[in-house]
Amino acid sequence: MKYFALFTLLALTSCDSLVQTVPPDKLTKVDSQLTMFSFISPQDTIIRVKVSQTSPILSDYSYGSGGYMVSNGDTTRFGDAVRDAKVTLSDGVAEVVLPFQDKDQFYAIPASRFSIKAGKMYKLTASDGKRTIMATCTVPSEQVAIKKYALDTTVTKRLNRVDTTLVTSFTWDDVAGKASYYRMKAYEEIEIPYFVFNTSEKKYYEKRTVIQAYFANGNDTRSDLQNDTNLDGQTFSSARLEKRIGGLGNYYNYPYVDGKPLVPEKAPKSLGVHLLLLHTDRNYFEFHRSLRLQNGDNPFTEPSLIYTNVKGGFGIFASYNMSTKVIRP
Amino acid sequence: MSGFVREAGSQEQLPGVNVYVPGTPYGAVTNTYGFYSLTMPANDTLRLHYSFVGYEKTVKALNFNKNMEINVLLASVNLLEEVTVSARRQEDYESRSSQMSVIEIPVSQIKKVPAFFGEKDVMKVLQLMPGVQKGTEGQSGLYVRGGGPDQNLIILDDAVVYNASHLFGFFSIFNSDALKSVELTKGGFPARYGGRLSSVLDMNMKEGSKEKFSGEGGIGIISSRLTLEGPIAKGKSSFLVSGRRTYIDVLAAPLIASQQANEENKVKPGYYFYDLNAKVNYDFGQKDKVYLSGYFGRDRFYANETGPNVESRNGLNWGNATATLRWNHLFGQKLFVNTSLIASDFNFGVSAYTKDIDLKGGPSDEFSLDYNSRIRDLGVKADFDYYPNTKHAIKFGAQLTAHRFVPSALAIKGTFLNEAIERSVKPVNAIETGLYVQDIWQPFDALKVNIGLRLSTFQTKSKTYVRPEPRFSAALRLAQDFSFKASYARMNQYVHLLSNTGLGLPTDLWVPTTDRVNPQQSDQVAFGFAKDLEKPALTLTWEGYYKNMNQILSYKEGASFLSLSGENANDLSWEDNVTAGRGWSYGTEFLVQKKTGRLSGWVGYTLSWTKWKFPELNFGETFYPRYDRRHDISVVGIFELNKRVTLSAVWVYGTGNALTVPLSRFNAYGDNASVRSFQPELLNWYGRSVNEYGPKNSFRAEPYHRLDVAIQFHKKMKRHERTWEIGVYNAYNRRNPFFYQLGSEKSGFGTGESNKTVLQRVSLFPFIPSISYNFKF
Repeated sequence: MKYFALFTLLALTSCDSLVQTVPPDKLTKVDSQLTMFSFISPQDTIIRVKVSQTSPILSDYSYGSGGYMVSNGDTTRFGDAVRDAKVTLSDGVAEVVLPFQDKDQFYAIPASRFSIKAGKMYKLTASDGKRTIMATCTVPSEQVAIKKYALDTTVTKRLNRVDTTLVTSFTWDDVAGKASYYRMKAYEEIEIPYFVFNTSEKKYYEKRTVIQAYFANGNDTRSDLQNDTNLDGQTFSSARLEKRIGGLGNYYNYPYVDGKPLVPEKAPKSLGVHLLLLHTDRNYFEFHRSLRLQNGDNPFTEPSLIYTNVKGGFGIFASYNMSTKVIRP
Repeated sequence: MSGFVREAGSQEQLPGVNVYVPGTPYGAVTNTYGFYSLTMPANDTLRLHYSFVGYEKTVKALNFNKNMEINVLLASVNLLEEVTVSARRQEDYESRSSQMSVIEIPVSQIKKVPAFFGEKDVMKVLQLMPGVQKGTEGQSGLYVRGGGPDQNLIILDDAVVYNASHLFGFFSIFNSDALKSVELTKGGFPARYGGRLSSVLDMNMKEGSKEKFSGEGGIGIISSRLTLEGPIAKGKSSFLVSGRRTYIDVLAAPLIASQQANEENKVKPGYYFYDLNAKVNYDFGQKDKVYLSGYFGRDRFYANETGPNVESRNGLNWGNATATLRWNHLFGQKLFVNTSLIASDFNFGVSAYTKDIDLKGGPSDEFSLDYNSRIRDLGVKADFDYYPNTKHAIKFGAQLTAHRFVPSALAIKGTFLNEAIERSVKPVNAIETGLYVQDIWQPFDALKVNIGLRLSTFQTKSKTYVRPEPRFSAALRLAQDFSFKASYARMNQYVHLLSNTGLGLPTDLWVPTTDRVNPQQSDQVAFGFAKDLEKPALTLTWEGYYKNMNQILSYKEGASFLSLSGENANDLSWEDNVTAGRGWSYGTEFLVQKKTGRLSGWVGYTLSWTKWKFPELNFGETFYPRYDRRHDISVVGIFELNKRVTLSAVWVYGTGNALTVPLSRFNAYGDNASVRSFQPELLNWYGRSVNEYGPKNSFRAEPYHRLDVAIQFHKKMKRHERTWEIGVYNAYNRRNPFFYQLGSEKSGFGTGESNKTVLQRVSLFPFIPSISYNFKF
């Protein structure tokens, strides 16, 4: 395919005027719309909603408060949060308004103030006075248990680099008689050292914290998003999830003093591997799948649309019911 | 009475010749092999007329009172002399045929229509007819009545051709010098055809002259071609060989070499295609004839690099091969049988090999990738033509095809990989059969009916699909040369083409019906009027149709031919990457055609709607597929200025394609599972900038229109005839959209300057002149 692209490029660049701008007055005008993103679960301790808005593409770049960051090929915009919206979560009987948290730019409340229950339907609305958006979702009734699991270390070689890698996979029984959707995750809980700089003493102090280092989808033909179309009631196997053990630098950029990195006194310590099986609703599955499919503006493939269940705008309000298996070291 | 109609001189058998007795209902049409059979009462002074477009009408006066075999030779009219023929001939009266929705284009006319780079192309001329549309700029694929280019049954001498494209779809594989007849059926399909939803394109290769050795050929900008034909045993046997090859790679090679003379690494890129048609036949007498024909064509795109520390070879190649062995046999005067053995093969491959050589003696890195996709068909077919009496013409037959598919096989090897990756989809074997019977019945003078039934089956690993396909078409004469026609046809399609480009790329993947993937099925009703005028000699047709297509297949959004991960299956399979849905199309088509005279050509207009609804595309909402086209207009004119000069022009207009174009951007926050930050509270919550497109295909591209003109200079030389052709593609240099992209542009002036995102239209072909030289001896 590379050569075909080259060939067309050659054909196109040879005659520059073959590329012409379409006058904006020939295009339909597009307005900015509100977006919201939220995933709720009976197992979560916090209910968070991100409210933002779309920006029409055929317009001047805005250099306002926001900025761009490109990491791992993804472009992220900062400062896109809509701060003055009214965000309301309801279960049909009770209702709660979520306040804006300046620190992480979410609307959030602790789950203790509004409980999310399996099998129940919830409604989320957001309004900035002029625009109102709404979405509903129903939390899957069943918490699906992990049946069997495997955890191994292997030596992998990629691009001439040898690494020790943790590999895990697990199985479960599909909920029979209805369409089910699943997401697999795994993380290692690690206590790691880090350094805090005391400005008055001009000195680093070593401290410790616990982080969750996630496994990635390994070299496998199976996805970590699965559904039971044509496989209802069968036993499912997860994707092969992998995590490089690697050095400390994987988690933290250690400060340099006199041109040498600081070496902590105590080594990191593994607290165990957590296997998570999310029994999700269709919204969760479709949204994440569509998000993965959208890859660039290749003119020769059909663009994939981002799934949304938000009425009046874009985004997602989805839910899952999660089960966890902890493997202690 | 029965016999064969041939061309005087070459002895080429002529299909579609009208054999009739004027003023009576007695008439017949010759079949593909030039055979006709006519049953009528004895008559002492019978005057039998034989007529066919482009040939002189022949009248045989007979004393007919017993079964007779009458073979006739028709002389080809030099079309230049036709200028003097003013009276309309009877042979092409559209209003007299029971068949509707059929397009026949004489090969001689194809050669007069202006063409892209002067390369005459059957498929592109067919795109100029109402109900038949092109896809993107320059593409040779056919979109018939809302169907895709994969829904056309393309048969060359009974063999199915899977990929009809050269050079990424810009040229079709059919060399018109080797073709005898071209017929496209859009609806009201006769029962003898089956296997595709939307059209049947039936092409027959020439047999080769049995009288004298002759040839024709041409030299163009893109390619050159040569056809030779002649007798092997005079009057008994003949051959035809036709070849064509592009030569851009040959011409460019010294240029590329001189450019890279001083460089360490030498890159050799190139592209070519070629094709070969060959046919031999033997005439054992009135009762038996044998034909062997074949097609072989290949496209190759390559780039090889050699240098002191690198060596690489990369290529893309694909092609078709077909072979047909046919035997005609006559049982008496009323039963004609043709038996065919057919083989067809399509193969597409990608290969890449790179070796990085470490000059210091360290280990060299090697990498190789091979991708292959293939279909192979072997088939046998028997067709019977039975003419019991004047009121009936019955055809029946059977066909069996053994398919073998290797949808994709990928092998990757490299020194940096732990182990070689080999992912191959198991070959799929399947058997497709068809049994049919049809009767063209004329219950009374004004009504002709074609009733038929086809029973098709397809056998997969553990499932057999059995599908009856009723067919019906009728013509009712309302007045002199004016008739009403109606038809219904059900079609099933057992092989599917997966394409995510809409271009005729070889990466488009042919896959079979399986236990999980159902056959596609369509029902089409069509009705219309046909009127023939004497002066001016015009044929007017108007048709309306409604077509429903079930279980049509498409890639899931974002999937492609190299997608190898499945979401739910435990086995890796392409079946996970496809999704089925429903499509429907309706519209109306007008055609005014003038086949003869100094000025010939046609004007066609199509008004149509095509819609798709797939549970898994556009989130289950109805949408317009990319090539839904509201208006489509073609105007084709050929004017014989004098014996030496022919002028021609084509103008086309079409509504823009339905596309998906980004409207706005937003940050999508997903539930991710990866460490992005040391701050645990931000873990797994990060936004990614994504595009919002509105509903699928909700953007309409600008309309497409284009004028092509050409002038031909003919001259008879001592031993041959030559034609110079000068042509222009896109004469008024319209910038037609090929695709749209986002670009950035400066806006404002001076210090207030900022960047602005704009939508850009990318065009492919501007004004393109061409010249070619053609000869015939």
